[in-house]
Amino acid sequence: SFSSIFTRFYAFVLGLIGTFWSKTHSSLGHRTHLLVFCFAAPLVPHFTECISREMATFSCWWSTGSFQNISSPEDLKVFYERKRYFPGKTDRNECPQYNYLNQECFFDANHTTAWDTYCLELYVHNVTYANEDDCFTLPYIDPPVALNWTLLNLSPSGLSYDVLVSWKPPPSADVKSGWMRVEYELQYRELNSTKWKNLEIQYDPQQTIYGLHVGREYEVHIRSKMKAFVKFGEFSKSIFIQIEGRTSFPVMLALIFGISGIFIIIMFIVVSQHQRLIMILLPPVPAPKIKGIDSELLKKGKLEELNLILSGGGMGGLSAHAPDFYQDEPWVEFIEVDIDGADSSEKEDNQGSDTQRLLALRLFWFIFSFPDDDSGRASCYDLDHPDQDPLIPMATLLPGQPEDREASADRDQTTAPQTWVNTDFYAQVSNVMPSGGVVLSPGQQLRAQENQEDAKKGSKKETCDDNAKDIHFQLLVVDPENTEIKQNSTPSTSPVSNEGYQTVPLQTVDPNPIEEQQSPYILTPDSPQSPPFTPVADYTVVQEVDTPPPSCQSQHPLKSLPAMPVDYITPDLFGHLSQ
Amino acid sequence: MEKSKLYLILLVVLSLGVSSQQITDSQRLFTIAVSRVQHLHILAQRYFGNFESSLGPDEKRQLNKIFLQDFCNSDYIISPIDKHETQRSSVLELLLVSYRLVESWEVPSRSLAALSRDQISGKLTELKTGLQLLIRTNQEAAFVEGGVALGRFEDYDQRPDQNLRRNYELLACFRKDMHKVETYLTVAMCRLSPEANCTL
Repeated sequence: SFSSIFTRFYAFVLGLIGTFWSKTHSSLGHRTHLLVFCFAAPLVPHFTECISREMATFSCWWSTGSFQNISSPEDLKVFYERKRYFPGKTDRNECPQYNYLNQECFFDANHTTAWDTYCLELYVHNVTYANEDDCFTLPYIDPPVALNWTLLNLSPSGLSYDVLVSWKPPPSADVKSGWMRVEYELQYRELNSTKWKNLEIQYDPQQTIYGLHVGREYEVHIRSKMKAFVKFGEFSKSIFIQIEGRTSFPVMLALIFGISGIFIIIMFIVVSQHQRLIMILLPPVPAPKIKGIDSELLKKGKLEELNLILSGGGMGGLSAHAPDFYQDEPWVEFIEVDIDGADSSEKEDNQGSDTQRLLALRLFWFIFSFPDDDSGRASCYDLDHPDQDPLIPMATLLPGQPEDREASADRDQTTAPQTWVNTDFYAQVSNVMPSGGVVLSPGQQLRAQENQEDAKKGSKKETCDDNAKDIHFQLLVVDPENTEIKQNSTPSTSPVSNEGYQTVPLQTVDPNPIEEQQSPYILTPDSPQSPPFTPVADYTVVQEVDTPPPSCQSQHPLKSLPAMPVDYITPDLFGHLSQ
Repeated sequence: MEKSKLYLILLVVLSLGVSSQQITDSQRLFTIAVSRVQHLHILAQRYFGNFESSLGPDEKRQLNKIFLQDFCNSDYIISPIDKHETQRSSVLELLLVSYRLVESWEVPSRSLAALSRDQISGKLTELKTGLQLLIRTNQEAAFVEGGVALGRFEDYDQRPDQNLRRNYELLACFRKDMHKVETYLTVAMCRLSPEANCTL
């Protein structure tokens, strides 16, 4: 009849379409859908879909196709074959649970094995309809679908904002025990556009969407899939996001204008007050300065003028009448030394205080204080004379030049307050012997002895006597074994004084801690073995001279040329000094 | 009496310390092993996907049919087959079966070009070493190593395109086994340390 011919023709066309369709799609073995298309045949009953939501159970749905006379449930049966290794090759069973209303066959947990291959068959009217495409392995079936999610974080920053979307894993998937591992893909779009924007697939059950615009409405949905598998589940229900932005717009604009205005004002201030800001923020590092003395003099090494300034005109030569070179730099501070502490202990322990005074506090070469402020004073100073020169601590042994020595000798004997300028206490190595010894030049020592002898003959106060004895050193030869250490408080007994130069055997400076080895220039009063002071092997011992008041003439000033540039105490020396 | 009490307390504290150290060691090793096997599984999926996309649809269908008739080389290793069995197995059992599965792939993975290019065999050996360590920390008895017979790959079919079929089956079985091991190790890890974020 015409209807049957039409039906067959229709089926034929459908079959043709179906074969083309099936050729472009892969088999089910690793895909989701069961698509059965027969070639030039009516549509047979077939399975449409199999889904497992939690990899423990699964369901398959069938369709009867074009068969009309399937009415009672007994007409259709579902069988499955499952490939198992141990019970044998395959076992064939009937569907464990039918649902004819939905045309569904449900496999519960007892009948589901995760890594076995299932092949489903439909048995209708004693005819088995099976297809190779109907075989699948469970993990490759669609993952679960339903997701709950909430909108959390809203951080507006003007015209755009970010949103943190979070959700829970699918309720059917047992992610917590590790049985399934699920990953998610988020998609969002503006409501009036048709193109979805994908975000990266990730495992975290939350994701931030950046750059949403205020005032527009967005639609967001999500889908999941099992990790390392291909097929995604269905998309969840969408949620809608919108932020009202009318009120915030002018506020932000005003804020932007205000900030830029303030910024312009700040820039203006910075540019106009450039110099002052530099001064405030980056003050120049105060170099050591002697009040009343131009640092250029020191650099040029003009000793005579320096001596003149320091000594000349009496006490006040430097303090009041000298031109103030730094009046335009009020921030210049003059570091002052305080020698009261040393003086108080002087009487108790002459030997200890000797060293202490010399090395501990009085060897800051950059400190020249004058008695207008907290000037350190020697004990022999009269407190009624505030303008007396304080002890000037520094002494170094530098190669003295004969003419200066003589000149200073003359001056010493004539002028009462004898000052001297010693700006350094590093010895100068004048020669290195082939044997390895080092020749230092302690020229000032000769001077010291001469002056001391002279001073002894002169009249002196009782109070100054002690000081005279105490506060001078001499260069001593020192061996590493400290055998030749001598201390001389009287010049006459010094064997060294007769020599113009002394050879100091080279001593390797070991970086030992102080307690283990007496560093040559450390003088600790309580060290039993070493003498009160241990002269420096590599450096000279500083010699102390103070300028006595008119009555005290026991001191012998030393003079040294600032032939070497003014320098700082080395850190280790300073550390020793501060003990 | 007092001394013995003190010793007892010390012993308890020490054992607690040791066991907690063991636990953290175990967690750390698990995390490493799980990440390694996840990586292997992703690679296996990629290899199989690439291979499949290079086939025509007829070839695919035929190979699929053959694959269904055959078994994987590692199918003789008894392993939990579903969720219930997996959760019923102890951590040690899961570790042992994972170890055997990984070991069974050490040699065959060298024969596949795709696998050997990415040094899959070396990665499997590494994973095996990690599993050994885990097994040792999870049991007191000495672990009897070796003795796992590697079954010969059975060829039911003597068709000329052996290579294609063999590759297909190897890749499909490799993917399946890697997924198995990944699932077992993840379940064991999440059971030992539930506070670990098992969604990752």
